Amino acid sequence: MRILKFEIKKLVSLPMLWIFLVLCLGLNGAIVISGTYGMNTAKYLSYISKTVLQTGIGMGKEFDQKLSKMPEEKWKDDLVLATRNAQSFLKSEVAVNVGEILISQYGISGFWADKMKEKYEKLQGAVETLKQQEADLSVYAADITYDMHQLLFSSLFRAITTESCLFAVLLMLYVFGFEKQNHTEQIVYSTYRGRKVQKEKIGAGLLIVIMYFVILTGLSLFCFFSVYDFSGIWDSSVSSQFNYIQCYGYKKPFWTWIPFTLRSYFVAMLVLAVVLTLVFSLFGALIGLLCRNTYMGFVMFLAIALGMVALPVICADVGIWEGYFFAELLPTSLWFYSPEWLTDLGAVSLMPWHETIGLIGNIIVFIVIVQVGLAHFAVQDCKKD
Amino acid sequence: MLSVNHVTKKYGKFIALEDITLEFENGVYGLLAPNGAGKTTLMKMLATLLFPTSGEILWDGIKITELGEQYRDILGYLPQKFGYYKNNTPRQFLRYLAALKYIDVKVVEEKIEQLLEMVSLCEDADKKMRKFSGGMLQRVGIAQAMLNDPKVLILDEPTAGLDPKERVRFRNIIHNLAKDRIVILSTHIVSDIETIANQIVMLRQHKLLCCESPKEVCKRLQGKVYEVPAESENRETGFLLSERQSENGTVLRVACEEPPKDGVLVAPNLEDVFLYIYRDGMEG
Repeated sequence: MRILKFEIKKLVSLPMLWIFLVLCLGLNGAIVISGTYGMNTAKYLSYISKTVLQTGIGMGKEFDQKLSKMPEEKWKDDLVLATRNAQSFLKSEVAVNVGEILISQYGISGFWADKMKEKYEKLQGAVETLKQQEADLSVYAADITYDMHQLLFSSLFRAITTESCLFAVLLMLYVFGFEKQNHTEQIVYSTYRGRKVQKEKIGAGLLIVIMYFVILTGLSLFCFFSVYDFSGIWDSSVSSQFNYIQCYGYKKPFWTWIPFTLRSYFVAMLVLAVVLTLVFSLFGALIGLLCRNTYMGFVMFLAIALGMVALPVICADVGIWEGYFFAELLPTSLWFYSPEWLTDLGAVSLMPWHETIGLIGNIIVFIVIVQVGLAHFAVQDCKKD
Repeated sequence: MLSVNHVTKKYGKFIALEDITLEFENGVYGLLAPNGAGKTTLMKMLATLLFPTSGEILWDGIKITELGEQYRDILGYLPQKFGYYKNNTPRQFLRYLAALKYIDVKVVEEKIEQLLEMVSLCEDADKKMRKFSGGMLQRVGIAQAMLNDPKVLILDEPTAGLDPKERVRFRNIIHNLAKDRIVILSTHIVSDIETIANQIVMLRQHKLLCCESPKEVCKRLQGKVYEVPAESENRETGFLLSERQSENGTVLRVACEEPPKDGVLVAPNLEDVFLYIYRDGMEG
C-alpha cells in the first residue's frame, strides 16, 4: 500500500497528465458546441424533454391527443409532425431479413453464413421482446433522435473512449519507462520489493486511468448535459423508430439484445467504456513491460494497433472469414464499433453481445499475458540502466 | 557468507565472466580490473540484476535466486551510474526507496536523518536533486544503499565524481561500515582501496586472477620494482610503471626481473601491480 501511494504520487505529479486532460476537455467541449448541432437543436430537445413529462414517452393516439392539448409553442408543430399517427413497424422475421441482406452484401457463405443466420434468428427473439414492449414507439428525441444519439454516443462518447484509451496506453508506457528514463532500474530492482514493484506500478496506473476516465467523462458529460436537456427522455427506449444505424446505405433499426432505456443504455455504455479503457491499459502495460522505453513503446503500440485495424480489412478482402471474425474481437475493432455496442453489430459479429464477450475475453487474455510478462520480467537480465 | 561458485556469464557467444569462484566474509573487498574485465557484470549478478549463465551464487548456502527478497533484504547496492528522480529531494527519494526496502514506517524518518548526517547532506536534504553536483548525488547513492543496514554492501565505482576531500571521507565511512558486513567495491582508483580493502579481487580476461590481501598482491612484484633516474643509460630496461619527480630530477619506476644499472629496489605497491598485470596486451 505504501509503495502504491508513492507510485500514484509519481503519476499525479506528472504535468503531462493534466495538460492532456485539459486538451481532451477542450476537444470534447468543441464537439458539444460544434456547428451542426446548434442552439435550435438544443432548444427543440429541451421542449421535447419538457413535453414528454406531460405526454409520456410512448407514441400513439393517447400521445397525439395529449400533445395536441399542450400550449402552443414554437416547437410544438415540429413535434406533432414527427410523432403524429406513429405506428410500430416491427414485424415477424424482420431481423432475419436484415441478416440475409448482410450475408448477400458481404458475400459470406457456408459455415459463416449459417452462423450469421443463427445470430439474426437470435436477434429476432430480441426484436419480439422489443415489439412486446413497443420500444419502437418510444419518442426518444423524436425527429432529432438520430442526431442527438450520434452526438452523444458516436461523437462525444467515442471521443471520450478514444482519449481514455490513448491516455491509458501513454500512461502505462510512461509507468514502465519511468525507471529506465531516470536510470533508477538497478536501484529499484535490487531492493526488497525488487522487480515485483511492477505490480504496484500497474495498480497505480490502472487507478489513475480510472480517475482520468471519471474526471474526463464527468466534465465532458456535464458540459454536454448543460447544453442538451435529456431530463425528460431518460426512460425512452434507445430502439425508438427514430433511432437507426447507417449501414452501407441502409438505415438499420437500432435493435439491442435486450430492451434498453436511454438511462440503462447510457450506464451500460459507460461500464463498457471503462472496461475498454482497462483493456487498453493492460495492452499498454504489456508493451511497456516488454519495451520499458516510453517512446519506443508508443511506436510499437502504433504499429501493433495499425496491424489490428488492418487485419479484419485484409481478411475480409481475401475471404478468410475465421480471421475476419477473430480480428473483429481485437481491442481496436471493439473500440471502432463502440457507437453500435449492444446492438447486432451487423456483419462484424457472429454472436449476440459481441462487444461484451469481446471485452471480457480481452481483459482475461491481457491479464494472463501481463502475468506471463511479469513472470518473464522477474528472471530477465537488467543489462543497461 | 556469500559464495560465488563457478559462475559464468555469457551474452550470446561473448563471455563476460568465466568460471568465477569466490567467497566473501565480513570485510572490504576491492574489485580491481580495467574496463570491460567483467567487474560490473559480477556486481550486478551479486545484486540479482543479472543471472549467471552457469554456476551459482549462494548466501549462507542457499541460492540467492531462491532467496529472492530475503536476500535483497540484506543487500545494499550502488550502481555505477546512479540514477535519481530529478524533481525529488534526497529525503523524498530515500523515503521511496525505504518503502521499496520495506523499512518500518516508524523508523524511516530517523534512519534517513542518520544517513543524511553520515553523508553530510543534512543541509541539502530538502533541495531538489536536479541541482546537485556529482559528488552530492554519489553521497545520496551511498545513503540509499545503506538504508536497510545491509549485510552485503555492493558499491560499483562509488568514488566516481567525488573530490579528494569527499573521497577521504568516503573511505572513512566504508572503513567503519565494514566491521560487521561484507563490502564489495569496484574502482579504477587504486588508492581508494589500498588502505581500506582486506582483500583485493582482480579479474583478467574475464577470469579471476586473484583474491588476496593487498600485501599478498604486492608480493607478486616483490624484488622486481626499481626506481631508476630518468637520465640512466638503462632507462629502457623493464616495464615502465610510472614516473615521479624527486629532488634529483625525474625518477622512473620500472618492473624488471634483473636489477637495472643505477636502479634502487623499492617496495611494490598496489598500483605497481595493477599497472604491471594490466599492461598492454594483458587487459581485461
